[in-house]
Amino acid sequence: MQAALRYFFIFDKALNAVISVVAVLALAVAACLGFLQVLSRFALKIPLEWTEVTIRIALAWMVFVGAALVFRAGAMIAVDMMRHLLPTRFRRLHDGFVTLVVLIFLALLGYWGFDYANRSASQTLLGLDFISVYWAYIAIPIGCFCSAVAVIARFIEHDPVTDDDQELTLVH
Amino acid sequence: QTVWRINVSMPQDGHHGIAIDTFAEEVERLTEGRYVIETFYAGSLGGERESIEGVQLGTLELTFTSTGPVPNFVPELSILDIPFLFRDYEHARGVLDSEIGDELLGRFESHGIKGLAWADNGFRHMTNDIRPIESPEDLDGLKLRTMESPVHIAAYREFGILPTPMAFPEVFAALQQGVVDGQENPLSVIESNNFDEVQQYLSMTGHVFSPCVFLMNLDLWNGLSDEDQAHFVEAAQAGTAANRARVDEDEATAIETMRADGMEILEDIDRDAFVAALSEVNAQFAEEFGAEEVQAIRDWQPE
Amino acid sequence: MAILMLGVMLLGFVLSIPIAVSIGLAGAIGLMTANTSLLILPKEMYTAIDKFPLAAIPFFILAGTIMERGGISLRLVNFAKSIIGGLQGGLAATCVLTCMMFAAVSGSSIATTFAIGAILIPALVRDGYPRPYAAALQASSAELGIIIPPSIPLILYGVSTEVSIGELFIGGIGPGIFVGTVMTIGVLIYARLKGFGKVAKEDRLSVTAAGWRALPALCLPVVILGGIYSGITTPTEASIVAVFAALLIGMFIYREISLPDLFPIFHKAVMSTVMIMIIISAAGLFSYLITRAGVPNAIGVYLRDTLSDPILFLLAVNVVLLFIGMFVETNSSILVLSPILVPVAISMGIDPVHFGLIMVVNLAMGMVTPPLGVNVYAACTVGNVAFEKVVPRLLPLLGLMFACLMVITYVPQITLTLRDLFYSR
Ligand code: NA
Ligand code: NA
Repeated sequence: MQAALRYFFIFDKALNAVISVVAVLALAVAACLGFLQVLSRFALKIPLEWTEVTIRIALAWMVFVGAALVFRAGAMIAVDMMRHLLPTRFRRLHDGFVTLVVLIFLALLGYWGFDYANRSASQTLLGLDFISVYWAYIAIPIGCFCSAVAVIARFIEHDPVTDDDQELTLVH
Repeated sequence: QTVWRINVSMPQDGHHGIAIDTFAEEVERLTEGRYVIETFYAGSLGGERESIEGVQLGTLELTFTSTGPVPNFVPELSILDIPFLFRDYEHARGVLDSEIGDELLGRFESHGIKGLAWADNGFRHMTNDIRPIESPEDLDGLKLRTMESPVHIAAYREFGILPTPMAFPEVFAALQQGVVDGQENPLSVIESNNFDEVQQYLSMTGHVFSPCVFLMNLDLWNGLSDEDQAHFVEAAQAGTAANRARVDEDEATAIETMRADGMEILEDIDRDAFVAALSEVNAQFAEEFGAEEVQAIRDWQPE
Repeated sequence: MAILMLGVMLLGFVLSIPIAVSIGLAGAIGLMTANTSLLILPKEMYTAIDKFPLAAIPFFILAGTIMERGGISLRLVNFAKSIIGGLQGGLAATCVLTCMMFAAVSGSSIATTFAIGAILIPALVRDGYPRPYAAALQASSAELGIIIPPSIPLILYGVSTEVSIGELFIGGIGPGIFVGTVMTIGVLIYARLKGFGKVAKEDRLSVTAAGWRALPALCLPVVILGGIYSGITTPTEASIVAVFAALLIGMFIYREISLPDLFPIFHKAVMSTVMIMIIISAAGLFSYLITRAGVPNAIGVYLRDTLSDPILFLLAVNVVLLFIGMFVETNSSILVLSPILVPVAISMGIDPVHFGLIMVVNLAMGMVTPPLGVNVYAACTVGNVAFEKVVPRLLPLLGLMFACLMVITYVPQITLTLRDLFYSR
């Protein structure tokens, strides 16, 4: 059990690192393509018809996969009023409940997202008609899987009582 | 009683809205109220691509759409995107209502979609803010907002146009500020989106005929009795008749309204000169879609 | 189904389940009880964010983060302080005024929240304003983003009702300036009442010194605005230009950003973007399901068929829109409701441009009204503050905005004077 947990956290850490790079790259690529789109149309008089669709896909990947980073940091926006009203000894129980609800949602979205990607696979992308929309939609189940790992890791690692004061410093 | 939905991406008061309103009425009448069709307008249930996808997946029962995003689902149907394929409305409607049209409609089925009937979005014309377009040479160097159709883009490039795809809600502001010089759409779309407010010149190039089509989820279609299938097709054809009447009516008034608002409109262009300028890319299309098939459409004559 | 979904969503909020998950789960349960395919869940969540104009949100967030780390924000705030810092509540007023200026380039309220909030919320906090108030102020000021042209909701209104978009844009200027002015005065008075924003005068720079240091930063809005108005970029693409211009200034002029800083800057922007986009994604699903169930349509038809007095009609429209705006996304409300309501308004002699601005000002408030107020979430994200702490601070501002809305509703001249001047009627 201990060993399994250790491997899980190694996996979680590696996954988190990979996702960070993927999401940051997605944003950087989107920004650069956007700049190229403006430059090419205005300065070179060569409008590009593949940049806009590529930017949209990059940003969709950033959102669905990047969600895992936010879950891992415990920074998803929530109305925390009830949580703060609870006696601190119930916090752990409450965390468990929220984790379970989130996992149920991720399972639903991930399962149907995978189905969605597969069933739409014969459709091509508007503007990049040699690529299947599969490669855009598959970001949903992949993101759900990464988020599920993040939510579980967060629950195991996070001790709500000691971290109480820092709860509002969301990210950095 | 079964309740199904149909949607369009354009406002209710227009040639898309009247098509689904008529269709809904007719389905209810013909099936004696066993089927009720709820109608949604103005893209409130999503744009055309999302709607076709919904019909394919079965999350939306029916949709009425222009064929713009259709090639992403049924690649062979981009044959309809070929510029100057149709001479006039009589030709376009005639072909789509003939066996050729039926055969094209049948191509949806292997993709989980039933095509009920073809209808009209109208011939597409070009507007811009730089110069009146009289001959193909006038197109050289114009930045035109176009659809993301590879067939259109290949053809426009041969004209010397700089095709610039752009999300539809951004087009008005882009035309106003001059991010693009012009755009191309059917007259009713040009008028209802107020593009005449920000564009000086309209040339009735009629370079592409843009069809519309009634689509239905194939599984639902297969679940209908033979009798009800006939009712649905009949209702769609009634929708098409109303749609075409509205297109004719709108085209006549749109020209007058926009001219009265100060737009410079060129009605007669030298069609042959435009066709001749596309010889190279037309050869390429003939190879891609089958020379015979393209020729059969071009040569179609009313009986 | 609509009521059930609403109930599940609110229950999720109360139980401190992440907002995006509460909304998404409400949608999923709605689909299950209606026996509809759950494929709609991923489809509508993807569709909701798969729109190019929405790309302005991540790019403006990124630009804001760069401006914050690159010293641009600080210099801009110092400059604003050097001008009006002597006034109590001056920085709060600066927030409103900056949003007004930024609204002239941005067509989206959320993008405005991030671009301005990244600078001004930390500055407001530094000057002793309570953090929740700073976020509430930012969220409500950003409403101006869609009232002042360019504005995507105004374009959608124009397209679905065939009203001239040019006239709507001109019509938006009056209400935009009106709301901005009233809010400026309002926050100045409020600061005095509450004792916010008393700033020691000695740490202020002279206007010339602060202006000189802020000069490169002050060029930024000029570049963004200039790009749009000279037709180089669309309003969406302007956000990308903002990213690169901010990077240029931060790296080469102020030299406060070096290459190794880029990864953390991008990482932070990713986190902020995702927090808000995932809610937009779930809210898109929710909006779709409510629309599909025919709720806004039924309400619109009811209004149309029951009211015949223009004064009562306008009041009812405002109350109902405010309610719908609490739960449904602005753009879909406009698409569904304007074709139903506008013909009635015209038949009662209400100018469609005036009616359009009433709808847009009202639904702009919807982005700031809890429980589903995307702009408040955005302000919480950028201001690092809890949603439930912001809501009470929001109420006086919402009251002020509602008062403005009433004035705009019953004094059509605010909207129509400029329009009549330009289109000479
Ligand atoms: Na604006
Ligand atoms: Na709201």
